[in-house]
Amino acid sequence: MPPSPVEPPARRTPRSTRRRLLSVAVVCSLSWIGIGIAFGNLDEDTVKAGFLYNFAQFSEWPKSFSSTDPFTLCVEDGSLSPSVVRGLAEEEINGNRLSSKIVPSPVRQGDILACDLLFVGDSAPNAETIVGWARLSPTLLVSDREGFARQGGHIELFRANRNLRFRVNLRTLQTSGVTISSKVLRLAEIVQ
Amino acid sequence: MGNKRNSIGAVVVLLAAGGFSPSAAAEDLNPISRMSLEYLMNVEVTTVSKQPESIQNAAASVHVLRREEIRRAGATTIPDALRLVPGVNVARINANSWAISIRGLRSRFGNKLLIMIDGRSVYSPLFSGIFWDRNNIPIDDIDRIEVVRGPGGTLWGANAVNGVINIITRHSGDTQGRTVEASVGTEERGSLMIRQGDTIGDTATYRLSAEADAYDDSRFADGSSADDAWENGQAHLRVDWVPTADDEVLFEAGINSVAGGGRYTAPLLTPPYSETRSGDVDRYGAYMLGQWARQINARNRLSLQGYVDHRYMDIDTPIAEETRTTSDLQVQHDFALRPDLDLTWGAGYRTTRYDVTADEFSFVVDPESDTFDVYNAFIQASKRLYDDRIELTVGAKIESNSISGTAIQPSARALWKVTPDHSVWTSVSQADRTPSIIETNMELRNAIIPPNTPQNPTSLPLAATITGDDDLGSEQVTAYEAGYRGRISRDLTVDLSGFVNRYEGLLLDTDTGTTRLNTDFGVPFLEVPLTINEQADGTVYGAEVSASWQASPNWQLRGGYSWVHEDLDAPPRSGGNSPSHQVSVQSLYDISPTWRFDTVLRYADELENTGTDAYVNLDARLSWSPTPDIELAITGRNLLFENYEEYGVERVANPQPLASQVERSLTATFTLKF
Repeated sequence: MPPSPVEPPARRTPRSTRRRLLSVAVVCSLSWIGIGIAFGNLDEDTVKAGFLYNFAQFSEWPKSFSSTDPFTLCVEDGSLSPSVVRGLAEEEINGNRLSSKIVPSPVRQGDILACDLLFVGDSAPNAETIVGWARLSPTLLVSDREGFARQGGHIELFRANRNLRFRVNLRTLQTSGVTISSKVLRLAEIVQ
Repeated sequence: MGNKRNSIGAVVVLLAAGGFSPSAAAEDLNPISRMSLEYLMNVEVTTVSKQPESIQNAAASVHVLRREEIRRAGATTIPDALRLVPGVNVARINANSWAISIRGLRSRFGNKLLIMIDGRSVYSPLFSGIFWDRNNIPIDDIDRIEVVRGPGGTLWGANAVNGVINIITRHSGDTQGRTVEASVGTEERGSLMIRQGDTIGDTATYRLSAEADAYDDSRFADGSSADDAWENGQAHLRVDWVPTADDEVLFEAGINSVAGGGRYTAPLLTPPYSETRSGDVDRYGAYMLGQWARQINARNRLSLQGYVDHRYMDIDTPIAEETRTTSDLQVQHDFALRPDLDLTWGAGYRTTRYDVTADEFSFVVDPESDTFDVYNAFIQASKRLYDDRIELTVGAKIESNSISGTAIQPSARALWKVTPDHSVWTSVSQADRTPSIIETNMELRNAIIPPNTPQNPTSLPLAATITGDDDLGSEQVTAYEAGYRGRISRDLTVDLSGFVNRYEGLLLDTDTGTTRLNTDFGVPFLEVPLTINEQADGTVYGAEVSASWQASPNWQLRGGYSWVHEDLDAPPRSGGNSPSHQVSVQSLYDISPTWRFDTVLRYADELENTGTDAYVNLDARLSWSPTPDIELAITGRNLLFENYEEYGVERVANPQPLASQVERSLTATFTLKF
């Protein structure tokens, strides 16, 4: 299968630059018309946090959470705005308190073991290593890094025009022991 | 983490600190736990939430047509895409000509809309309207089409009288890799689009697209050909470059050619005094555009734009050639004067040089060459009050042109966000339309009354000569508008707007001069000069409703209804070319992750002036996308009828092509990305 258009080969512009280019496009074109227009828009980090919450809500972990165990959602430092991460801490996941924390970048192996869900930044220096570590840990890995799902990450958020979409690597997800509800999977693009 | 954090970090901090943007309000109401995946997938993400407002916060009647809707409607031309916008009245006259309007006063030579492609104005100053065939761009290169119903003169300047259509192409970072799209069909005979996108170093991306299309002839009711087959070839380059973290540069260039034709009724000075003849139309164009923007800080942005657009046209009926070069330079500065007060100001200069060679008695241009200049400056201020729930915007543009002098186009708008999900707005605004070259510098003779007839008892042919007047002033509209926009539930949004437009100085009426003998064209004839005057005026009022409903995670319905009523104090047949009622409903249905079935149902009321019947029609598209890189689609258009007319003859005086029938058609499209 040829590479997906939204998952380009390595010769492309680095992700951060490309995203910058995207945001530029939006602003450039809008500034000339004075009223920029989009139906219901939210800042990107809030939308990403919304996805993380939903992934946590509709997945099952092999371990059983007791009612006092927090659900630990980790975010790599610099990948999402701290205020958005703090906002997540006010939520609950299926009756368990959600504990959101920012873990230092680059992510260390110990952090993975302590997290139920880890959001890896798009410029994480050691994304492939993280994927390798997570094979042995029931930690759901999510990232907006390009090609993350193909590299073995569980869920990759990507941008389609001005919307966010996600793709799931079912094979590595299965080895992690975390299962995602079909309600989520049917909205996903599946990477084999 | 580099650029992204630096640039939007500041905005996030502002948001967290109680902020000014719609996002802040939305967050309060939509705790993260209340946002479903379906909602999140449909919400549009913004990385910067400053001047660009969300549609929810625009104190104007605005509709955005997104790429997905255009693509899934199977549209192959911009007019077909515009059929999806509530309140935009689209009628196909023949295979390559359309009459399109917003809020009434429609004509083939409709002259009250401003159309832009990435900020480049593409209306023709020849008649202040659009040759839609020559402004096609590859449909898959379009990111979205933003339509503003109502005046936009304060920001956009002259010609934004009844509306603004802003076609925005995709960022080249969005179209990386190679794409080939090929179509074959019964009316759109064949189409091939190839596109290549790549990076240039670490800071720039580009896209090069080329497309060729061939469309079949349409037919008249008697089955004869309208001789309007046309071919369209084009190539476009777009480069997006980010030289520094704060600077953004866009460069575009393109060329296009259109070879088409049509059948026209042409006047003759000798018997039989009129004939229907076929005429070719050839158009070529080339343009270059550059934009540079510097983000000085999160709420302070300076932008500069310049373009040169060169066009050539050779038409057979009437026989004429036009060459036109437009150069345009604009500067715009958006900044926050205080936390609750945003200012936008700017200035611009445009110079247009045209040469028209007209070679027939039916069409005379004097002078044949001219240059006109337009200078403008504008300022707009937006103030937010009561925890940002009220937003007041006032502004004005002063524009001075060498045709009709200086005009001021002011507007005042108010928005009340009753709740984050419900807002109401109202506005009063004025906009001008500069007289076109036809209205100032031309003589048109489109009908000859034969000699020795009751209307012309003399022994010479008699022509009614529509004569331009270079003293004409601009047409002016004063528009009163109000609207409501609401999110009724997570899955249902509704938009209502109503308007009353009062027009003054419409260039629709003429003064009848003294009959004189004309011997300039070999055969002597009598002519009655009908000099265009500014006496006509009128009121047009109406309303638009649109709604979008996510009926289920895999089914979306979007629909619109518009009503328009024209009350003109103008000669008969000046109006009545717009349907009083129009409805469209688009259904986007995902049968499975790989199969999609989409339909568009359209209704347009009868046209009082042209005598065209009301119609209902249906377009449908079935697509299969086994991988994200491959798509096969079958599109059926106008499925309910073998053929029907969408338009007719407006006025004898207009040299428009004869209206032909729109036929049922099928098109198969194959798209491959690699």
